[in-house]
Amino acid sequence: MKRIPSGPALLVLILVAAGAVGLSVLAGPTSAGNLTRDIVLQYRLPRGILAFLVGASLGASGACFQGLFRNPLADPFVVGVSSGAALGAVASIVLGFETLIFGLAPATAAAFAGALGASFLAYGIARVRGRVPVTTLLLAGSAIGSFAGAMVSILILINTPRWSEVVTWLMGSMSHPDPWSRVLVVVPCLIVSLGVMAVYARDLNLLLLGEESARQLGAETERLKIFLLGAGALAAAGAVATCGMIGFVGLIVPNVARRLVGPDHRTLLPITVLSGGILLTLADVAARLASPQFPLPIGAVTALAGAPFFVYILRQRSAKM
Amino acid sequence: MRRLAWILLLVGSCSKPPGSEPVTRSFADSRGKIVTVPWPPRRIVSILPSATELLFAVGAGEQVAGVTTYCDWPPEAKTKPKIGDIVVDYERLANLKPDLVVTFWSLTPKTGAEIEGKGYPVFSLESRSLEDIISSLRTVGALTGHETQAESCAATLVARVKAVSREPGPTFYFEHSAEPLGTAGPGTYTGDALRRAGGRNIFDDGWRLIDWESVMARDPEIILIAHDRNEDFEKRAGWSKLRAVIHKRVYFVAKEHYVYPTPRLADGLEEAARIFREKNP
Repeated sequence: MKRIPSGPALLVLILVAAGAVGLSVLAGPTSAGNLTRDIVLQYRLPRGILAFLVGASLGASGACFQGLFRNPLADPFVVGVSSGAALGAVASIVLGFETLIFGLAPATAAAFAGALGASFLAYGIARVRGRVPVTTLLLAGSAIGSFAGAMVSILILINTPRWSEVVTWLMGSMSHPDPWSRVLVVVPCLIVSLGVMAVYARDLNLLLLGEESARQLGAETERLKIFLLGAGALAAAGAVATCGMIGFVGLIVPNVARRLVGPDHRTLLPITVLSGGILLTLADVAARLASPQFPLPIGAVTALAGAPFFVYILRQRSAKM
Repeated sequence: MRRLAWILLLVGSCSKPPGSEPVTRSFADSRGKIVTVPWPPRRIVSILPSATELLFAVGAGEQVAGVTTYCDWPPEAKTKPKIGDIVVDYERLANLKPDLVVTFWSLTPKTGAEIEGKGYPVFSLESRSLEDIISSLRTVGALTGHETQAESCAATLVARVKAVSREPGPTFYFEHSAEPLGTAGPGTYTGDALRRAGGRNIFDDGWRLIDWESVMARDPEIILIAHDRNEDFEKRAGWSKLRAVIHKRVYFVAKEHYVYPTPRLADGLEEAARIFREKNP
C-alpha cells in the first residue's frame, strides 16, 4: 500500500478532529431552538472533548502495546488492564463504597487502581531474573484478566441491587452529567503517557527488529518495557476509569494507521492518537443521532463496528501466512 | 423402606375425610392468563420484593413459604426461607413445594416461564399506576383468602391518594438512578403518584434513561433525587444555574417510598405533595 506523507496527514487529522468535536456539539436530544449556552459549553463541548481524549488514550495505548509486544492484535486491555479496572469498579459498586477519593467517584478511583494494579502484577509475575520476556508478560496479563473476570462474575452474583450501574460501566458510556470533571481525569493520564511514548518512540522502532537486535542497537530493553507498559496502562486506565469499558478502538486504530503511514512510531503514535480520538467522537455522535432520546452504550457501538474489522485483520494475516 | 412409604401414604389418605379434595380456584392474572391454584394457597413463593410486600400487606404473610434475598420489607419477610436473588435456585424452590409462585411477569419473564415449565402455577401482578396497585391488593386478597384485610388496605390507599390529589403545579425531575441517569415518566406508577401529588413531569413515557442535557434544557422547578449515591452534584454540568438549585428546591428523598408498586408508594405520594405545595423560599 502506498504510504501517505505524515506531515499533511497530521494537519488533515487535526482539522478533522476539530470538526468531529464541533459535530459533537450539534448532536443531542435537545432541539436547536431549546439549546442554551450552558448546554453547549458545559455539556456538549466537554462531552465531545471527553470522547476525543478517551479515544486518543485508547489509540495511544493500543499503538504502544502493539509495538511493545510486536503483536498487531494486542490492545489496551491485553495486560489485564481492562479486567483489573472492571474488577475495581464492579467491586466498589457492588460492595457499596461511597467515599469520594481525591474528589473522584469511588468506581472511577477503584477502576484506576485496578487497571494499574493488574498491569504491575502482570509485570511482577513475568519478571524472571531481572528480565521480562514479552510473551510471558502477555500470557501473565491474560491469566490475570481471566482471574479478574471470574471475580467480577462472582461479585455480580453475590449482590447486585446496583445491577444497572454495573452493566453501564461494563458496556462503556459517554453519557455523564459531569463531562468537564471527567476530562480533568483523562488529561493528565494522557499527557504523561504520551510524554513517555514520545521519549521511547525511537526505541519502539528498534523493538520491531526483535529484542536482541534492539539491545545491540543500544536500546535498554528492560527499562523500556517498564516505561512503555506503565505508559500504555496509564493511558488505558484514564479512559476506562472515566467512561467504562470501550472496546476495539485501541485495536483498530493503530492497525489502520500502520497500514496508512507505516510502522515508524514517531509518526504512527501521533496519527493513532488523533484518529482514535476522531473515531470515538464520531461514534458518539453517530450513537446520539441514531438514538437521541435513549443514550446508547458507546462500548456496544464501537464493538459493533470493531468486531467485523477484527475478523478482517485476522483474515488478512492468515492469508499472508 | 418402600413398605413404610406405602403405610404412610395409606395413613395420609385415610386421615382425610371423604370428599375433602383440595379446593382449587382460578384467577386471571395481569397477563390475562387464567391461573388455577389450590385454594387458599398455603405455600406461596414470591420471586420479587414488591410481590412479597403485597402478600404481607393483605395479611397473607403466614402463607409465604419462600422469598428472595432482596425481600426486605416488611421486616418479617427477612425471616422467610430464601429461594435465591435474581437467580432462582430451583432446588430450593422445589424443596419448598410451592403451591403458588408470585411475580411481576415483565420483570422476570425468563424465570417465570422456567418455573411454569416445572409445573408450578405462576401468578403475575403488574402495576403501571396507582389504580393498578389498588386492584393488585384486591386480587392478592382474593387469591390468598384475605379479601377483608385486602379491601381495608385498598380503601386506605384510595383515601390517602384522594386526600392529596391536586391539579398539576410545578414542573419536576425525578431521578431514581445516577449511573445511568434514570427517571420515571407518567406511564409508571411512580410517575402516576407524582402527577397526582401535583407535579408536572419534565419527561414523558415510562421508565427511561436520559441524557443530562435534557434536564438542563427543561430546567425543572423541583428536583427529586431518590438514590443515595454519594456524588458531588456541583460537578454536574450547569448545576448551579438550574432553577431548582437556585431556589433551593432539590430534595433528597427515600427511594423505597417511590419506586415500589406497593402501599408504601403512598408515603412518597404524600411527601411529594408537601414538596410540590411549598412555595419557593
